[in-house]
Formats: sequence, C-alpha cells, structure tokens
Amino acid sequence: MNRLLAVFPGLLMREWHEHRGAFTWGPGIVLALVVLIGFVMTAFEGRFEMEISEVERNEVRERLEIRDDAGVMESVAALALDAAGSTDAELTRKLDNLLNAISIPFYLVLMIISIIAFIACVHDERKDQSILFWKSMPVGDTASILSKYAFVAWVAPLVTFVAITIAHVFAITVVSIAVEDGMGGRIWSNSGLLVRPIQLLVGFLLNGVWMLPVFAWIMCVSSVATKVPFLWVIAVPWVLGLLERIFLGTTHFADAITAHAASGTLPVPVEGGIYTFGRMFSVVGQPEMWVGLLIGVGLIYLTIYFRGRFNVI
Amino acid sequence: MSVVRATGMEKRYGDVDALDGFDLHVEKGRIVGLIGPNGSGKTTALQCLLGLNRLDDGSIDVLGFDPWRQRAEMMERVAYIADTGILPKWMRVRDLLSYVESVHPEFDRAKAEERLERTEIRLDKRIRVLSKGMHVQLHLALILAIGAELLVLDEPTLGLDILYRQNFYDSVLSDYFTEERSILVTTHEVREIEHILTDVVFIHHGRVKLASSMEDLANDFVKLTCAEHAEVPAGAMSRRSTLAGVEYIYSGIDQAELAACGDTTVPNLAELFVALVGDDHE
Repeated sequence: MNRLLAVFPGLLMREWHEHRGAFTWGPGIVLALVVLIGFVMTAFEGRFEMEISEVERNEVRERLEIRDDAGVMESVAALALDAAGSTDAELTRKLDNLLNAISIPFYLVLMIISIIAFIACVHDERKDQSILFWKSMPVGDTASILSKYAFVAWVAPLVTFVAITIAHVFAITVVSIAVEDGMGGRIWSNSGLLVRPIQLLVGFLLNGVWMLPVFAWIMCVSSVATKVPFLWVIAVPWVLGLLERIFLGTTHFADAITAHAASGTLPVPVEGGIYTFGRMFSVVGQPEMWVGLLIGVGLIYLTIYFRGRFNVI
Repeated sequence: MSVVRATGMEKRYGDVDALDGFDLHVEKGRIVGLIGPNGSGKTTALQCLLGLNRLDDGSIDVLGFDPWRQRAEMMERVAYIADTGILPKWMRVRDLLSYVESVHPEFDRAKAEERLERTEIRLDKRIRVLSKGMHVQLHLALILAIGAELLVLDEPTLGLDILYRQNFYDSVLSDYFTEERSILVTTHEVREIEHILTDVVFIHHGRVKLASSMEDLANDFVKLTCAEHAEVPAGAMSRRSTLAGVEYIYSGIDQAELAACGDTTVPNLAELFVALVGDDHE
C-alpha cells in the first residue's frame, strides 16, 4: 500500500503528460465558444429588446428549461429582459438553470474525451509496445490501472471544472451588464457563484463513483481486446440486451445501462427548482449506485488481471 | 550467489512447447548469453523471468523474488531493454526522466542527464522523433542511471548500425558491469557479444542444448581444420567443408591426438551452435 501511494503521484503525472492535450483543448474550445456567444449577445443586447415582443418574451420564459445551446442563449436574453420583474427566488432559479445549462456542453465534451481515454488506456500501450517499458518499472498493474481510472475520473475533470467556473463568471458578468440599470447587483447576489464551484467539485467526485461500472467496463475491454476496442465496448452489452429481449422478452439490462449512463451527479437544469446538494447526494441512497459500484470493482479487478496477463498486440 | 535460478520451466502455446523443461542459472558477476534460433523459446524464457508471462510448470527465483507474483518489487533491482523500441513514443524525454524518477527509488536523474548531454538527444524532444539508435541510447541512459543488479537485454542492438552496436556494448561493459552485477543477453549477432560473455546457454525447442562457462567451452570443445581426405578420429560433432579445408568439431577428445591431424583451435560460438543444433534445426 505504501509503495502504491509512493508511486501514485508520478503515475498521475504520467497520465497528465499523455492526455493533457485532449483534456485542456476540449473544455478550452467549449469555453471559447461560450465567451464568443456571450460577446455576440452583449453586442446585440439592444436588438433583443427591440425585436422580442411580449408574446415572444413569455415563450422564452417557458423555454428557460430548454437544455440545448439555443435555449442557453434565449435564457440569457430572457433574464436580461426580465430581471426587474422577478423575485429573488425566481431570479435564483433562472440563473441556476442558465449556469447549469451552460455546463452541459462541457460535460458532454468531457464525457467523450473520457470515453476515448478509457478505450485507449491499456490498448494503446499494448499496441505501441510501451507496456513492456511500463512493466519494466517497479510499478504493479494495480497501481497502473487505479491511476488511469483516478486520473480520468477525478483529476482531468478539474480542468473542465476551472473552464466551467470561468464560463459561469463570464455568463453572470454578461447578464449583469445586460439587465436593466441597478439590477446588476441582484444578479450577482442571486447567482450562487460561491456555492456552485463546491457543488461542481462534489458533483465530479461523486460522478467518478457513479460512472465506475461504465468506465471500468471500457477499461476492461481496452485491456483484453486486440482490435477495435470501441466496437467491443458497444457490441457486447448490445448483444446481451438483444439476447435478453429475444429469450426473456424483457429489456431490464438495456434499461439499467441506459438509465445509469444517462443519469449522474453533475449539476444540470432541473424541473421547477434549483439543483441542490441534497439532489446530488441522493444517488448515494440508490441501490443502483451500490450495485454499480460492486460491478465496477469487479471489472477493475478483471482489468488489472488482464493487464498483467497480456502484453503486446 | 545466484541471481537467477530457474528450473524445469514449461510453457505451452496450444500444441507448441515454447519451453520444455528449460533450466537457467545466472550467478552474480557473470554475463550470460542465451543463444538460440527464432522460435527456440528465448523470448518466452525472458518474459517468464521478467514476470511478463506465467509458467505452466517449473519454478523461477530472481534475486529472491517470484517474478510473476512480485514483478513490481523485483523490477526495483532488475532492468530490461527489449529488441524493439518500447519507450512511449508520445512522451518527451524530459517527462520520461521525471516519470522514472518518480517511480524508481534507485534512479539517479543527474546521471541520466549527464549521459544524455553527451548524445544528440535533447530533453524537449518527443521520443517518436528519435532515431532507432537514439531510442536505444535513451533507454540505455535510463538503465545505467538505475544501476540494477540484473540487466536483461533481449536483442538490444537489433536494427542498429555497427557504430551504435559497438558503442552499446562498450557502454554496458564500462558503465554498468561490475562484479556485483549480472547481465543476461540474447542476440542473433553471436560474434558481437562472444568476447564479453562469461557463460553461454544454447536453447533449442525450449530445451537447454548447452550450458557452460566460456572457460569450460575452451577445454571441452575443439575445432580441427585439415585436408579433405585426411585421417581423423571418429566421433566428430560436425563436419563442414571450407576454402581452408574441412572443419570438424569435437567434444571431450584428447587434443594432442587431434593436433597430429591438422590445425586445432577453439570453435567460436556460432560454429559450436551450428554443430550442436544444426542437424535438428528446421
């Protein structure tokens, strides 16, 4: 255990050297897009006031819950137009939904990069034969695999966390400039910007646990597949789901996987309220969390076993 | 003192016996050459010794460790260079040094950097842009800065030009090897390492064909070169016609008796290898 702890920082740094491009460029590009959209909206702020009618304004208000990029832009417009007419609670809810919606493209990009990193994590080192070098160092397979998981699940998201926080501060700045005179202070005080970073950090931490069965499955495939690991990652669960449907007539397996992968602990816009710590921690009480954890630990064990057993492809 | 003690190594891949009761012993302060043709089981044997592969049967003790179960601990005292470039190609040289420094308690970074300064390898270069020769130089710089008790070399100079090859073994001898350290090396270029070996093991079809110190080889084997129709004693291991005449290789024979038939010399490893395994090598 002491040995594992001694080498762990070096292993995380190794992962950083390997993946820093993807995990910084990804959120960096999303941040640049958010800033660009913000500037465009600020520049056209006057036009929004002129062109959006009362009917359209109400429509925008109803669409505050929309979770796509277009919704984000319209949300900002709606807030800028309606800050004076909202109570503090309403304003908080709108800002909460706006900032959470802004986070979604960051989550999506992070998820895509993470999946690619997990698919490549053992497969690539087997393919370029560097696994022989890594194994020639006094580092066990357990330390190697755990460091790969810890890096992608918990360390790399810190870059995304910083990018999201900058995007949130930027968005609140844009909104506070765009609202009616004297409303800027209310925007800042109701934005929750002090609590939000902690919420995000805890969200990422819990998400790394929640996603363990999914990520561990991908790592396991990466450690054993000799070709096209991406296809194996998808094909095996798909075939299992298909077999269940054909022979048992049920879809429990596919439903469980889809539900698990689609849900999580990251702050997203929620129906009729604010995303809270309580909501985030509610996953801890769900049986899915613990069943997933058990399956994930089993798959991590298998990944460690396969990494020790297989060398170059 | 024994550094490697492997006995009865067995490893099967399907119907093929890669190792078939193979034994290997490496003592401290010795340079052992493991020599065999392609598919003879050399690489499988090395992989098992390094904990990269698991034996079906037999036992291995490397510096008191079971390689398969204790690879990480063992690799603090064992170093390895493979036949192909196995350093991570996406990494920069500087980052690689940092990595080894962070995980290897015996690594002396200053020593590695000092050695690299004498080469054309720059610290900010990615490994993928290094030539094959530079790749090996870099790996050697890492290994020499670790100072392991056992160095395992698996065809380390494969694909290198003559200058790199010569330089490689010169460096290993002058900067690594001491009486406290041991080297186990495999290569096809037998002539290249013959002069540095203290012991040799011939492996063929996963079995030991010969295991001997170089001193004993000189006493046990003799090469006779004589005219085509000269009378020679029976029992030669091999016979080969050359421009100089006919060469016979004998084992355990009175050398004074042979001297009367022609010129006698000590056969080199390549000649001995052909004499020992040539007949049953397909």
